[in-house]
Amino acid sequence: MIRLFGAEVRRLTARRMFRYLLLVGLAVLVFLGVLQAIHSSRDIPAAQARARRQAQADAARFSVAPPEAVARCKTGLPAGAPPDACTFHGPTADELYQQIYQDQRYSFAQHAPNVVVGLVVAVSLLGFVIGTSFIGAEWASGTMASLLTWEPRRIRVLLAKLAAPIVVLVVVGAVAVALGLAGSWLIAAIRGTTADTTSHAVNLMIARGARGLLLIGLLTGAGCAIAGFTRHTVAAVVATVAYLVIVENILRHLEPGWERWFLTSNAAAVLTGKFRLFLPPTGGFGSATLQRSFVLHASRGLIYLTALLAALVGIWAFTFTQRDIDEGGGR
Amino acid sequence: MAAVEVAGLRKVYRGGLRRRERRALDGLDLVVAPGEVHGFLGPNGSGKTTTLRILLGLVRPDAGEVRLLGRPVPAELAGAVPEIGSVVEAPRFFPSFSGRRNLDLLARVAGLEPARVDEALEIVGLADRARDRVKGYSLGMRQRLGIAQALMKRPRLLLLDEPTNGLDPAGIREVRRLMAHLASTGVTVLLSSHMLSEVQQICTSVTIVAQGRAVRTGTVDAVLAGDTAARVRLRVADPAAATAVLTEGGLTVAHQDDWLMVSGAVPSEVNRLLGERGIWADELGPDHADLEDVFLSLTQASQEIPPA
Ligand SMILES: Nc1ncnc2c1ncn2[C@@H]1O[C@H](COP(=O)(O)OP(=O)(O)OP(=O)(O)O)[C@@H](O)[C@H]1O
Ligand SMILES: [Mg+2]
Repeated sequence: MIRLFGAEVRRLTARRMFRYLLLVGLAVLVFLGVLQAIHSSRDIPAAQARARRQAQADAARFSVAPPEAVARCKTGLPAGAPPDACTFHGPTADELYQQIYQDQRYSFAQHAPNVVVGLVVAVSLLGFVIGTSFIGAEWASGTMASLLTWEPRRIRVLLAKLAAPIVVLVVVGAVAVALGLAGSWLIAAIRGTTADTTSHAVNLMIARGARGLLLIGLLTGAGCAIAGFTRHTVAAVVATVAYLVIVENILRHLEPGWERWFLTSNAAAVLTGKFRLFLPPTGGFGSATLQRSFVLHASRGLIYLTALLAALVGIWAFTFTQRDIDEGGGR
Repeated sequence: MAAVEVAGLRKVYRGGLRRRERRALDGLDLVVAPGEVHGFLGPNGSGKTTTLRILLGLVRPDAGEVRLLGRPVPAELAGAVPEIGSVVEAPRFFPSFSGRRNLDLLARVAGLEPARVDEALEIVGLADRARDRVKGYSLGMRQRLGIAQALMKRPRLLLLDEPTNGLDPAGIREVRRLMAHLASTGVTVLLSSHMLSEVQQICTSVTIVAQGRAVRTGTVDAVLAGDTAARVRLRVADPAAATAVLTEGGLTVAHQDDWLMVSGAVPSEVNRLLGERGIWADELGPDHADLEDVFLSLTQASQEIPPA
């Protein structure tokens, strides 16, 4: 079993697709990091001065109401209106400054959670694609038959084929998140700020990263399982995309209440910790409506997605043990 | 204990959208004794590949019993598999991996030392191309890689489906030598083939199948004899007189070119009958039919497999 697993890990990591995708991923990561670093600036006085200039210019522009608008206002005015009835109250320069000024420093506390989310989403999608093609390629090349003449216990074969991509992708995800956070810290330390980093924020981030790794494992496994019973990479990907685009997208509009059973909302719940879903308002009092919403918690999302994966693997195992291996020959 | 025992094997494929049924095996029996090189002969679609797939647990039979090296299949196949090397139909590999890596992945599954991979590649003469991608291999090279894959286990039993398919004459000869060598070291070989002359040269025993059933089985000599025991080829100066004499003696005589073919007797008996009447044969001997004749006479009855 462990040898089977080792062989599958070796096959996965030897695939050119896997290596290319990793390289591309790394390149994108570095590119985004450099972009962030360039964008970050510690020159606070300069940024403040720029914002103040902008605020003053805008305030000057807003304080002068267009003359024709003032004229129109005055013609309709009833007698006895106060003299300043048609003066225009634009925002002050200070008010505008508050809106315009942004801290140009790259902040670890602010950006790192998004780095984690971005990396987890990217590696999850990668995992899904790698999982499907890893299993699909086995059927496309017809090598399943020869593998089974070396290890005929199909459940073992299946578990090794499921575990290998999951483990590899979770490791890839962990490395990616670690690299991303390290990079983020580096940018913040050199060109931005790490001052607002509280231990609470760090704990949240670690929890989010850990849940993200689970999500990566779940999606990679799902890719394997779907390709396992369709016995075809493209069929598996097309079926999944069709489901996401057609079923989830259309139902989201038709039956918002069902959103709690969607893959996307549960995945978002796992990743963010809490995911709030809004239902259409049913009514209210006066002009106010009562907004109905509910929260999907990470734990519920995890349980739900794990159950889904178990069901998919179940179908895979059933078809794999019951169906003949009569492909993979020169017929 | 036989190396391969198959009894009453039945298989009906149900495939396609309309679930059309196709009977592939219809009560096949097959026994291969240890140390034999056993030929498994049959026309296209007679169920050879299906039988080998069932032996290897790839296809589930509808009925019948299978034992390999004494172990029931598929129940205890896992115990037998380390000692069984096999190539089923055209061997398939990951095209973008090298031949060596393909074998290496399988060797890892069984925990074989890497040296076995090189050893097997050496045996099939693929060592210098082993690092090329399989995508670029010729048909014969893939076949060789398949055989290397089967030999890597140093098996006690080899199941080969048309192993010489796609090989050049030199390759065919190498396979023949390899089989002879393996047989001399006690390996049992079951090999399906269409190449009858091939089988006649390599194999010690054969089973001929038609329409999913064994129609003849035994040693090559016995199978050949079974068809030709009573046929004698004869050439005489006066065929007409000889025909009259032999017909009188209760034998059937047929003319074939300038030969007389006598059925129902052995050469000495024909010689005696003729000698008693003073007719002396120019040439006289048993008619050596080859496997092809036997094969065609046994399997030609109907090539079409009726629907199940
Ligand atoms: N996967 C399958 N689905 C449906 N029918 C099949 C399948 N595989 C084989 N058959 C049918 O089963 C019968 C036996 O096929 P099989 O491949 O065992 O014959 P074979 O003796 O190996 O032939 P060949 O000499 O051409 O290799 C054929 O009628 C074939 O059409
Ligand atoms: Mg065949």
